[in-house]
Amino acid sequence: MVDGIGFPGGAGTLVEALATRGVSRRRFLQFCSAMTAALALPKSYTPRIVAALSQQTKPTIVWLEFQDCAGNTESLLRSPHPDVAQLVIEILSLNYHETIMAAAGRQAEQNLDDVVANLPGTYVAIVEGGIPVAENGVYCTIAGRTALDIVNRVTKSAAVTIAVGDCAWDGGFVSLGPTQGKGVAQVVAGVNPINMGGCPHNSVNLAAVIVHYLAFGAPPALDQYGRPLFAYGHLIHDQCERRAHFDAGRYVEQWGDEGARNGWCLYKMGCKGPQTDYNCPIVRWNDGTNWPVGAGHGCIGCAGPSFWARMSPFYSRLPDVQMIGVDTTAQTIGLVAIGGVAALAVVHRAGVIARMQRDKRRRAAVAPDGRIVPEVPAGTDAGAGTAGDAGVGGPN
Amino acid sequence: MAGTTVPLDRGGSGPVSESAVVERRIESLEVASEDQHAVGLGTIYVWELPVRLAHWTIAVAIVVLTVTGAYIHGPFLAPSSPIEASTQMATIRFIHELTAIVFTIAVGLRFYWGFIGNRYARWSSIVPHSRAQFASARDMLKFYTFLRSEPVPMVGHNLLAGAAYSIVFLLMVFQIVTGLLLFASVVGTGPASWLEPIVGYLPGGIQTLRMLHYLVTFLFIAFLIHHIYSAMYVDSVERDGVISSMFTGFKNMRPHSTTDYPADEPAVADNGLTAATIAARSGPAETTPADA
Repeated sequence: MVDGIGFPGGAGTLVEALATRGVSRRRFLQFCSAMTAALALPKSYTPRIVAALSQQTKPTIVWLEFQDCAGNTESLLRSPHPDVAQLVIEILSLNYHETIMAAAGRQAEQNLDDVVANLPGTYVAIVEGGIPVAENGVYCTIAGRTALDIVNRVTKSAAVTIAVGDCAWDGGFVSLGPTQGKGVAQVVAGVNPINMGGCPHNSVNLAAVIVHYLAFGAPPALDQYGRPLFAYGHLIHDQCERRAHFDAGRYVEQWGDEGARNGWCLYKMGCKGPQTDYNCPIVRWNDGTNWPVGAGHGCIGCAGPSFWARMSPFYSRLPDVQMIGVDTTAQTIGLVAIGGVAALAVVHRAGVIARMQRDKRRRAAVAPDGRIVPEVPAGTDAGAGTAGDAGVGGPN
Repeated sequence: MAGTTVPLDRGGSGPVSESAVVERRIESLEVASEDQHAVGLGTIYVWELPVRLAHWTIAVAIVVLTVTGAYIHGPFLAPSSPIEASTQMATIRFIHELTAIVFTIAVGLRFYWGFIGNRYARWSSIVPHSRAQFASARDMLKFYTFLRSEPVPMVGHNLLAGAAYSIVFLLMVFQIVTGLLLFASVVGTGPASWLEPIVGYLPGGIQTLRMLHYLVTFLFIAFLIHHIYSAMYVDSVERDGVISSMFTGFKNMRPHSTTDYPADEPAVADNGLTAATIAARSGPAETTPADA
């Protein structure tokens, strides 16, 4: 059996594993309360989560890493003080994780093969990074296998698959490159991963998803993108600490101005908080220390679908308009349209005046007897003067 | 048959020179008594109250929506207070959303009235779809491009305007739909929020939606310029009181006025035109052989 490789405590429960790591019962209960809150569950659910985590044997987790920057691994590991969430994820028999596992080479691949072969339908597969599909996926191979092959093999027999970060969700950044990176759901038929959008994902949310799975035996409620609603169900804008400044009409006009120093709203600096669903302002980063808007930078909408393509330019309110060979803004097009119509009106008016003067000259023509013929009496239309209008007869 | 044509020699006493204009206009007279809307030859009731109400509600709403929308896009006002509690943006957003609802109702009313209103209000006389209507639109285009001296003497919409209004109406529907989807993505609760998932299926997502909502606003401003200019121009040439008719509902009945090209009206000549229209069109037909 592969269960519990590398971790003290063997195949016991999560609580026992935490205890061997020096995590007190009190700290464990705090963690359960925090998970209840992160899952947006009522406080009364905390005992249920405590009970579930106390009794559950540790599920096995494999962490697949493909075409990525390891940012989601960083997000998991880079806590100044390793918190319980990180410990939980590590201690849950994290049998395979390229960046942090001790095993290497054939031994490491053997661990992965053992999990897939011996624990089908029980382990949790976490996928990080895009899966390149160009040229049958040769742009990312591990131990001679393509990412395409690995992700299909591992996720199809997993109990639950979690795609962390944007690249594993919908291809993210790498989907824009020549390798044609795709998300898990796009390349594995029949697998509906829990997509943890964000660049990177937030490890608190990942821990909450796993806790939910352990406590209730099912993934949390998901939205249309397969993202957990507890984390991606509300606009950043609605949870933002600068929202009052938005409603009051107080905006940062340029970096470093008075508004920026006073912590005003970053709306005019291109903040995509009003377009992005995420609990970033609530769970924050680095042990809840801060988050981008709190640090004075607008949201770039990293938790939204295809955000690299859709949310850029990050410092503009609106995307550029990309036409054939032209990259312009909606405002430019709009102003040109207005200017064009206004110019047409002016030109037309000039034409009308010119025609009126021409008609005036014609009406004041010299008659055969030499006298100046005055204008045609009032009652006839000013513009009348073409040969056609002088046509005699008519259909009557 | 509504249009009995009467030849009418209103010109001077014959040609005085080759270059002098001879006004021997053949004009048609509507026999007003046969038209239930006509009030003698003086005025004719064209725009019913719901049409005028919708028109001015839409007009005011577009102005309010454009100004508030411009603020929401790029807040151009200094904060009312740097410290005190304020609802400057919140209030303007509220006005925008409330006006949008009024706008939607007005557009809906006008759409509905296009099916039950009088002949001038009906979609069948606004959206060009018959040969005669396209001919009318073409003649009106000639008028605007100086190839024809007079506008098509329509009591209702000329069909070029009808085509333009059809497009503007579609743009209005577009703005309503995109605005509603944008509203759905921020409102968070209530029936409008049920539409939010739709945003996720649109190519380009919410940012493209916002960009298009913003872009189309400019088209309304451009249309506003054209609309006011054309109304003033046609009013000055036609002298049928088209501008005041948008307040009173009555247009001046010109001797050569024709009602319109009702698609459901069999009262058209063999070539698809009313007799009155043939009279009005007799001029350009000679100047451009292709038109004959």
